[in-house]
Amino acid sequence: MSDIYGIMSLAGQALMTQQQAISVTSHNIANVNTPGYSRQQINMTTNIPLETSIGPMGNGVNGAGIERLYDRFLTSQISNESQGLGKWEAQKDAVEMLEVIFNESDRSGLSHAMSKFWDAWQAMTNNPSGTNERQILVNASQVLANAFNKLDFDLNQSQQNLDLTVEGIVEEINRLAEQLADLNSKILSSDAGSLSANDYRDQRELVLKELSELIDINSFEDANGAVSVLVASGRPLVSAGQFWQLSTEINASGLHDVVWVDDSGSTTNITSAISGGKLKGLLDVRDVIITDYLTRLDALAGTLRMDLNLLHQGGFDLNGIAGEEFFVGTGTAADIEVNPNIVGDLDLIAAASDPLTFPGDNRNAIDIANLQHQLAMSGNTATYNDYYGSMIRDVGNEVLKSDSYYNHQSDMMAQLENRRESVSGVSLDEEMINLIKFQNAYTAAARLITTTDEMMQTILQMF
Amino acid sequence: MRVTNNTMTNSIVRYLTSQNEALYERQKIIASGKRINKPSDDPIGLGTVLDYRQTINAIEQYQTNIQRGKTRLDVTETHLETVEELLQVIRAIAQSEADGTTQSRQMAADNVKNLFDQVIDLANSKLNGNYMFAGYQTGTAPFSRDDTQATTFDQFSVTYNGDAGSVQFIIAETTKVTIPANGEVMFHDPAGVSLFDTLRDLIVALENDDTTAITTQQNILDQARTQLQNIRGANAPIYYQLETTENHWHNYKPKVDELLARQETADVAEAIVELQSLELAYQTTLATTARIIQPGLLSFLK
Repeated sequence: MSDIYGIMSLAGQALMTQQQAISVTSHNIANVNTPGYSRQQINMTTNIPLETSIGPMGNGVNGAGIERLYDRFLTSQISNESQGLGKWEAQKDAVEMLEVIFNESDRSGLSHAMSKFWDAWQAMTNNPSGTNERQILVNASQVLANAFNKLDFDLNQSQQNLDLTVEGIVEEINRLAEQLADLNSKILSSDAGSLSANDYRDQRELVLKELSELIDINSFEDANGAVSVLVASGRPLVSAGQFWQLSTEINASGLHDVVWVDDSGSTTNITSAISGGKLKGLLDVRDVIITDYLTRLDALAGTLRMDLNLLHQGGFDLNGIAGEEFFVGTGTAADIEVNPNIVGDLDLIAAASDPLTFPGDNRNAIDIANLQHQLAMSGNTATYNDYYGSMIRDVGNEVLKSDSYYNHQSDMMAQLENRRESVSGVSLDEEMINLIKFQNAYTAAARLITTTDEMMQTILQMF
Repeated sequence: MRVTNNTMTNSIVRYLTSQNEALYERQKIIASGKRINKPSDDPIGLGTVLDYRQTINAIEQYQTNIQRGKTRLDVTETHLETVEELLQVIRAIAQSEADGTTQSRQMAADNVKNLFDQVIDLANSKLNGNYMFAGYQTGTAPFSRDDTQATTFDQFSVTYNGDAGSVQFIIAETTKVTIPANGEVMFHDPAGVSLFDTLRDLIVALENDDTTAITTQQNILDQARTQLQNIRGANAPIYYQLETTENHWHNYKPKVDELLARQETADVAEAIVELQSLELAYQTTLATTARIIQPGLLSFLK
């Protein structure tokens, strides 16, 4: 039976519920630019109707809960794609840096130095005993050796930089794992469906997304609402309020491998099990791409040094003495260097092919100058120049490849983010409409109280 | 689809970023005048560019080599020509002295001695500080006199100190030309005529007033001249080869230059047109953004 007090309390509850709705709306407005925030809405339901003689009578409204609007499938998709995005972003940035090292578009690279080197040998054939020609040859050879050294140094430097970044990312992963465990605990301890749990869940999704950008993870939510995270083929990183750590160990090449630390503190190398995220992109460039370029550069420098020395040592210098090594070093690009004896005494360049035919004999110099056309590389299928050209091509292609994967991935991500935004994003227009709607309802409910009050006055005046 | 404020701002940021990137790329092309500014601009294209550059470099070097070869041949030719002219003078002396007097033969002998000095100087010619007719022994004077003074005519006995070497020039990838540098076969050929020995014998004959010997030397002088002419004749095809190859490079290089330019150089006009249309798109986006992003329901309430 609905009495006048009943109306009063109904109006009071309506007032309160509309006020809650305004509070939720203001929370939405306040967080319009908060990353990862999902808009929330209050669920209003009617109260249980009262049985009256004329049938069930409505008994007002109450706020049944606050829910956030989100699409669980979209969230996990974003998390998955983040792994690809992170990987290609890291790889793109790293190979673009390599591209700068290999810049041959102006005339300053190894290719140019190599051309000048062969030219200098030819120039020497024109005047085998000329001091000028010999000096120019030594200078060109030093420029070539320096170009090799510099490329090698720069590549190693990039490798070291990427290595430092790997360490940084491992620290970042640990920080995020700890944060996830903390958020798990907060979600578990707060009442399900409460406003704070919604916000913690948003934060947790954001952290999961950040984590996915760094490393490939498997995550799932259990019945209690806690998220478990597995990395690198099933090793736990986060489980409810507990988290594990990753760390790094120096490997045989002096670079850092990523390891997983178990409860007892012993480590497992998971480097090869990482298949996504920035970490994968960096490891690929550091361990595969740069290592490959270094190997090829060494092959080029080593073969050139060996072939040239073989011919040079078969020739005879301006004293009729057999040539020394022209390039010294251990056969790598890092330490190839013009024989200091030759730099110190230009007469030691062996242009003659017979001990008695100095100083006018240029036959050995001609043989050496013709080395540039020899198919010395790649199983006797490419000249030195072709070989280096193919390296440059590969660098360019690698950048193009990472670029296009990155663009694809980032387009996809933008699409997904837009989809997420369309479900979970805050629209200020919408919130303004809601605000006015709830405000009007609030005003009306207040008016209801006034009216009820007037009704009571009317009754009281009856006495 | 439900579009929120953030959907809009995010998209706008993306559009503007990608438009800025495209503008930047065009600007770089226009500023550098080059289509390929880094390997990834066109990996295959850059490979071709490097090939062309290498080719141009090589051609320039071949051209230098050919110039050096031609100079060498020119100088050789000039020296040999002078020697041949001197031989003609000597031949004329020998001919007129065939029926000369003792006194005139004595004067002619002195004359030939001077000419001998000149010939040996020519045979010891240098080019860029190197002896030209010494084979590989370019640091040693190829012809030296016997200075022992054991007999009167020792100083007209000449020894060859060079070797059989020649000079080679690289004029194309697989082509070398060989320019003779062996002075022995030119002036002192043990298998043919020795010019110096002939001159010495003539001097001896003139001084000894030996009419028969003077007449004999005339024939041998003719042979020596033929020998020189043959050598000069053999140089002609080499010169022709150098000339032809030089012409070839001279015609070929501009073609490679053009290929390189076509591969490497940006079509600036095209880039500018593209830049303009990109600019238009960019400004349109900015204008649209300015109109869309500002108003919300908020602006229209109250």
